[in-house]
Amino acid sequence: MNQRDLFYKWLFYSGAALLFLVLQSWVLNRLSLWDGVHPFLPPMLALMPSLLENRDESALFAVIFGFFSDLFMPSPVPGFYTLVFLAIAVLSGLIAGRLLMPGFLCAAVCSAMGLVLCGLVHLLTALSHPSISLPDALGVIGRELALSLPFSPAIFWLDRKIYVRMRDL
Amino acid sequence: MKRFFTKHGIIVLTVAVVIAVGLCIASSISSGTGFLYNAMGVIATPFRAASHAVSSWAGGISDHFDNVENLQEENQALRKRVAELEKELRNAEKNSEENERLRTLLNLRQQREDFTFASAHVAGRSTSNWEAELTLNVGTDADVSIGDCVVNEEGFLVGVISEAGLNWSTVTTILDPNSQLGATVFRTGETTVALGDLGLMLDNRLKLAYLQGNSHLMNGDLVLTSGIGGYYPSGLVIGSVEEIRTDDNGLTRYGVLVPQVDIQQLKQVFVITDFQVVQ
Repeated sequence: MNQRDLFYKWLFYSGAALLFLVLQSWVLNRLSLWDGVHPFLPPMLALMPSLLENRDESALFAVIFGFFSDLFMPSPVPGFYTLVFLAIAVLSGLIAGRLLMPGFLCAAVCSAMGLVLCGLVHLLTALSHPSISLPDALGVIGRELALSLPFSPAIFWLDRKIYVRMRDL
Repeated sequence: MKRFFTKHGIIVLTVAVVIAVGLCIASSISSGTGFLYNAMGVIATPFRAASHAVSSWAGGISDHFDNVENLQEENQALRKRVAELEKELRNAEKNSEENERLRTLLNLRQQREDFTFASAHVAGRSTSNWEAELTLNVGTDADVSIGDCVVNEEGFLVGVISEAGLNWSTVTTILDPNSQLGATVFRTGETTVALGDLGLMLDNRLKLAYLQGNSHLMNGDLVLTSGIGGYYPSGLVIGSVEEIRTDDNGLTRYGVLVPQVDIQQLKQVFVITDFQVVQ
């Protein structure tokens, strides 16, 4: 694969992520599906290419995606999403390479891992905060996981389409 | 038949020519409608009628297609016009809503002449489930700065500016767990703190904490900003008390506040960029 194809491949992955981000900001953010919680797709968007692609490239994608998430989303500490998305992308790459075949099951497992890890790190940064109690925070993590996980097959399907198309070139 | 015409063709042709010439002479000599002409007319009438009917039908079809084309053009023009009118109506409704908000704001401006407002539209809402923030389409170019209070057109508090860029700003709403405001109970004058709380935020509620031991807080009590310290203006409505609960430690009580403003439905807000500090 030459540099031009490589550029287009990651451009397509970014486009796919952007598509779901539009869904997130235009539709999902306005929903209050389960006690005020709505689905949260960014962690799944950051980790999904790492199931299919080269580890270094997908880690770089996760870092850039996290950087932009930090720019556009409120985060508890500076660089929160950059670091968390990098961590979940690397872990997902390991799971997909060593434990599970990259497929819908693997995507669901990695998505669950990513969402829980993101929630737990969020919880760790907020534990000292008097307005965030542990039961409330765990409730948010659980509901967020349950509401976001159904989007995992759709994200994986689109990313796999891009992967297959670019591999065949 | 071929043999007949070969033998008698000349005779038949001669007879036909003689009859034709005879008919021509007869018709030119006779005045009015002659018998032969009349008889031929009678015979031809049904054929003429049929021919007319066929031509009328063909003409009708042609007219029909012409009409359909005209109707389609007219329909297209009307559809375009309807779309234009619907767009105008939408704009009118939007303007009407905005006018209503500005008219209400005018009342507030008359009540609080010390306030300087910057009008803003909500450009985005927080994606995460852990925060309740809004992004506005105004920033430092409209004199918006960190710590400015944001209200709706009725003067109900929405939140406080936590970040300000050139043409954008972020509002930490009163529901956000990071929100803390000095508050006072309107009926009793009791001074407390209105806090955002993760558990309550998801129900669109906030906490009225640090109640005094002898607090006489009641359901329905109106809670306003205290303005103590001069950091925020006083008298902005935060919400009303819905419930009084006891903390998990069983020692202290707190009130659950319902904000007066529906933060999920906000489209336009007003940033208080300047106000007079009341000592």
